[in-house]
Amino acid sequence: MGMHLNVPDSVPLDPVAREHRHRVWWTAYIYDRMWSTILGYPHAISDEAIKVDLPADMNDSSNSGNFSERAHFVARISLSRLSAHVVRSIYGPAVQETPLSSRVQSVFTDLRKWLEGLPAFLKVDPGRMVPVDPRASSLQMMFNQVCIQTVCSLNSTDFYMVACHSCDPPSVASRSSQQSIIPRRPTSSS
Amino acid sequence: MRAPWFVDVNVPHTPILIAESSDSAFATRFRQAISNESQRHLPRVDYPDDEYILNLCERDCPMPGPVRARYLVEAALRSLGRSFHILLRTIVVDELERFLQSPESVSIFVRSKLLAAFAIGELYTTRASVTMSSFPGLTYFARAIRVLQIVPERPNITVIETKLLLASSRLCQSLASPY
Repeated sequence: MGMHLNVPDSVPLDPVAREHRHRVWWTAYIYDRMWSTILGYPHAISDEAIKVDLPADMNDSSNSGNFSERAHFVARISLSRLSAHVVRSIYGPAVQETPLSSRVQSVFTDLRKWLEGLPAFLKVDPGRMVPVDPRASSLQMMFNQVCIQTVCSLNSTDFYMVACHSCDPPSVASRSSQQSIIPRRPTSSS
Repeated sequence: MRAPWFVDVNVPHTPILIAESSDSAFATRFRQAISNESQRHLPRVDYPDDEYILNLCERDCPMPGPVRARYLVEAALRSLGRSFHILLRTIVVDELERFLQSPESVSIFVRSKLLAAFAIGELYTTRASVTMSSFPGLTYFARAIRVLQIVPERPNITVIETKLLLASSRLCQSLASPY
């Protein structure tokens, strides 16, 4: 259907229908990336082939509740893109020249930038006991899943290296001296 | 020595997991590491299997009454619509009203879309614990997936919406499976 491309302006299309088409595409994109990270399979369409606009701001009175808030959706799209990058750079079959720990640190840097770029209402502060927007919670859980996927590629030694040099050392680092949480695997790592 | 729960000794029929990034063994170890209490492996074997769903496809699926139908669609719009965008509210509400007045007046694709929305709505509104045989929305889901038999020559947005709804529903059903 060509939903990965913008409908040309020459084609008369209602703005609501156009935005609906865009958002359905991006939902399919999120699902594709989500399934590929869960199952470890390649995703269906590469980012380079996608030329469609990101969701627009449609929150005016004429929309009658058709469209949700834009910022949350865009944040989810960018996190999905990141998660696909994680699978490709860390679990991809191609031989990697850079060490695994460097690739993991690079991913954590990208994840940190994503987290810092979130609008305030989508950030979850675990120290504050206030009701949290369910969309923020959902995004945080997706973010945690991507972090865990990044980490689980490491053996214990690499885990310590990344935990010491990366953004916020995972709290689990203190426990891994007592037990190995990362099953050793024959690797694709460096 | 007994094999771990995630190792299926029925080798010829075991799906060959080619993914490293999905690791249920790691998930269990991680939970054990971050918790102060002892954690057991989650069995992850209680999910509706393909044969059960195919059998459900062949059975009659009573449609919900008007009040419940509107309730289920509204639940699907609010729950799934919070994180994703699949249905356009004004369109699906209009389609539902036309369906309720005269089921034959809507196409099979719209009917399947509504069935998929009922499945999602029932999924999100059920509060009781469930088993494989009583999985919420499964009857509507089984009926809706019959549309997948058709590969449309000229797909439209309704087909895409239906497939996304079915994927969402299947994801929730499969959360208790190991893959």
